Amino acid sequence: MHMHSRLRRKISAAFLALATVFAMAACSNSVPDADGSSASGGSSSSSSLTAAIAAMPTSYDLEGTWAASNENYTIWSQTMVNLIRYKYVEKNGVQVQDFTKYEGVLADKDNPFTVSDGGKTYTFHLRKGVKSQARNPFTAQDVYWSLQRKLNVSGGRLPQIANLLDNINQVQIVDDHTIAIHLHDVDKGELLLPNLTGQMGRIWDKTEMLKHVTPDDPWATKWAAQNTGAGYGPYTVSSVTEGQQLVLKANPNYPLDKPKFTTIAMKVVADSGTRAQMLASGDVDVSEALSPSDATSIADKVQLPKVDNPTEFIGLTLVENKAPFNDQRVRQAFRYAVPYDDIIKQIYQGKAKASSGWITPAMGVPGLSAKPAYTYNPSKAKALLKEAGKTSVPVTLSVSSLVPDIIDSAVMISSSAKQAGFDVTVKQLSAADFASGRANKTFQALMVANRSQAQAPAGLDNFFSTKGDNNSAFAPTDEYTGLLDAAKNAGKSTSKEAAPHWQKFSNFLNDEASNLPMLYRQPNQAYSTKLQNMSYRYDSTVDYSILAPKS
Amino acid sequence: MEISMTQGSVALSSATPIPAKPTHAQLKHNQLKHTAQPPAAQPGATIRGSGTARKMLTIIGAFLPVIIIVAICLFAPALSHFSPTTTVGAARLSPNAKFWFGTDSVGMDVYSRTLYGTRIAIQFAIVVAVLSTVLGVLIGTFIGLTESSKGVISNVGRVLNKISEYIIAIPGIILAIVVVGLMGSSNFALITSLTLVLVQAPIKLTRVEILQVKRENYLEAAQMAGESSFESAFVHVIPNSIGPALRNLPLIFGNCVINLAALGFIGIGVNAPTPEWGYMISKGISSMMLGRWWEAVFPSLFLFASVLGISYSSKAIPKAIPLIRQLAGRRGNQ
Repeated sequence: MHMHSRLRRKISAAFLALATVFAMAACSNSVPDADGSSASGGSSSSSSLTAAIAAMPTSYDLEGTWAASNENYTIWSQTMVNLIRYKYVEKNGVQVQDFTKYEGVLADKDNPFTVSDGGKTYTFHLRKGVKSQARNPFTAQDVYWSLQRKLNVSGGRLPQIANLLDNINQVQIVDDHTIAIHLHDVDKGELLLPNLTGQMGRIWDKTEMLKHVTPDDPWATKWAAQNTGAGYGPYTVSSVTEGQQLVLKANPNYPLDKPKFTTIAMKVVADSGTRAQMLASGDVDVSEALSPSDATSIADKVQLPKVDNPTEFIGLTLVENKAPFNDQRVRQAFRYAVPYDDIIKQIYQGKAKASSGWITPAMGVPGLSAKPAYTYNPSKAKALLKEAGKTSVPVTLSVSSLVPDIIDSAVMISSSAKQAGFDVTVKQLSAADFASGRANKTFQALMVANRSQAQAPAGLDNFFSTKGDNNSAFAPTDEYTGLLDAAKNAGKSTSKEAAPHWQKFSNFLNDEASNLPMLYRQPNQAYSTKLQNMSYRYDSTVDYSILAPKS
Repeated sequence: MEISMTQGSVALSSATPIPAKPTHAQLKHNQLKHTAQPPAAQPGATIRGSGTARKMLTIIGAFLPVIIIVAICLFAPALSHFSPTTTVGAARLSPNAKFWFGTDSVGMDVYSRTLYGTRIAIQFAIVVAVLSTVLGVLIGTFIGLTESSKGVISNVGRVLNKISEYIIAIPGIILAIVVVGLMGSSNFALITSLTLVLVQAPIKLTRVEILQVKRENYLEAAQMAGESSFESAFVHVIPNSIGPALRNLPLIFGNCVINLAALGFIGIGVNAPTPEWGYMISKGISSMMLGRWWEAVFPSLFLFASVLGISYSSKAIPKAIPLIRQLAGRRGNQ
């Protein structure tokens, strides 16, 4: 009897627990209606805005302390600006950057630079009367010091700048508001502007930065990694609640149009579904880094930006110096074992397109093939494996545990690749372990979200440089170098003369099959329906400075 | 006694007349009446019958959860509808006639994955429980036999005992995370980390038992008879000290299932797409916020029910064993 009463108690407790679970499920069964005033901007006043982000940024200075993450890119883009930026063009309600047109930010808006010396000298005309976030006047000295810093600090992606300028003597201060950059080669001009526009082209306030240098740290990298206020960007970080929230305040000295939202509260919400739900219910105004399915779930209650030519891609790298991918036929076979269409349909809900290769339509190379480089073809994969003398190939595919759509894509590859003769194990690693394995080139195969910030085909060389962590796979060969040089020497990449050469270069990389974009995905942010000026820029971050309430 | 009997007879005689001797017809009538009575009218037979049924029910009840879990493990391929690691439908379909528990974020069948999840959990639990118990008994025996002696070997025993105490002070899940973090994610790393966490209880239980057993006189007698310490440890000490560690084995089993799911939940469990409950729940939590409850709820229910079942059986089976012996003994007597 005693045992039976205890059993009854246990069963009652079990039912109570089950009821709780079902009640919780029922409560979350429907997304709260976003109609009414709380639909968007429920948390915002006329001048403040709330965003949900996935994690805290780890560094505010990506020159000194490089760490690739959406949050680091986001803060780096809100607090710092460059001499020039890509021009915005509105398409389908989204402000999309045109990678072939520039406008001045710290340089003069309409006449930012002139080119002379047969394309070897770029003279930048700086804005007058600009003040930094620390209220120091902006001069050519700030640009010079910033370029000098890029050539001297270690870490980051600065080889991209060093490839263009091997010596600070190539930079000449003409007067307080004019500075010239002298290149050794004409063909580098096509890369100079994208690099000065991108993440490595930020300009520092020399006067403020010099206050924070130490004998051990002459470029103030330690201070800059943890502090803002020595730049010219639209915002500075005004307060941080570690692990929870970060507040940005508008910079009153910002040289472009003053931000409509003067306070941006960025709340850390680790789960993508929760970020989506918060936006749908009006708790936040912008949600970043949403998984495609979560974004689709709230599509009728929010705004999802859609662009014609997404530049952010999911890269699949098959490391060439490790078996089994040291055989080109096995690499190609694996490419044919990827269920591109299923991944795009199931995981990206149609918000992605299969890659035709490295050169995107946004790069403006005319007449380039848009045909997918590979399609799912298990028979072809098996035939290639047979040719390589293999029947069943075990593969470990490494992914970061932070990116749910990449994990799901990897799982789908493991499921479909069986039919093509590959036994794929998906290895999920913490963000730190993944970054370390990627940098140390220890993986056999990996998937990562990436983008070419220099939307010029010559800039793709960065992905195959042996210096950076972008290239885990490929040792540049004579054939590679020959094709790249031939394309560069054929004239402007947007010219008809150069196009066939870039096509050949692209085909070569596709055939190599080692380091390739698998698909290009649509932006992963969502906005309240009461906002306008959603943005899509080179680093895939939200431009909070141009966001505005709908009139 | 006599008085009372006398008083009773007096009372009886005063209250009712002494019945007359029954006639043959009355006896026959009574006999017929008895024959027509249902078996319940026979007190002795009734008690025996219901007791046996109750015992049988107790025994079945004790073993039933374990039987169900083992059956799901063994017959998962027959019970499931699809491969648990293959995309078989559209992503995130709600439960329906084809996909009883719906589909997950990549279109895999949640029902099949949940069933196979039982298999993964039980496979790990068996390995870890056996490994932890065997290692725990051996290490506990070594510590118990050596720590109070002299020499280098006693120092080793004492150090092992201290290490075990320090490890017990660390929360199990944190220790497991650290070990998997150091070794990298693999089945071997998971088994090692879970064993390291769960081996401590059998070590302590065995050590305490050894400290009692080694004072027994028969050990001295065995040594006087020429048995080595090693021999007497395996022949006498371990068999007499193993009880508590064996009784603790089901507890390790249940804890292993929970810890494995916890590691899967935080993303350092078995590699995807292996169907593992913790990983499935973790993947489904995000969906739950948007109303797609089935991805997390079904594996949660299976995890909850299996741990509850194992816990119940681990307590009920030892109580059922004497009943089995009783029933077996009765059959033998018949």
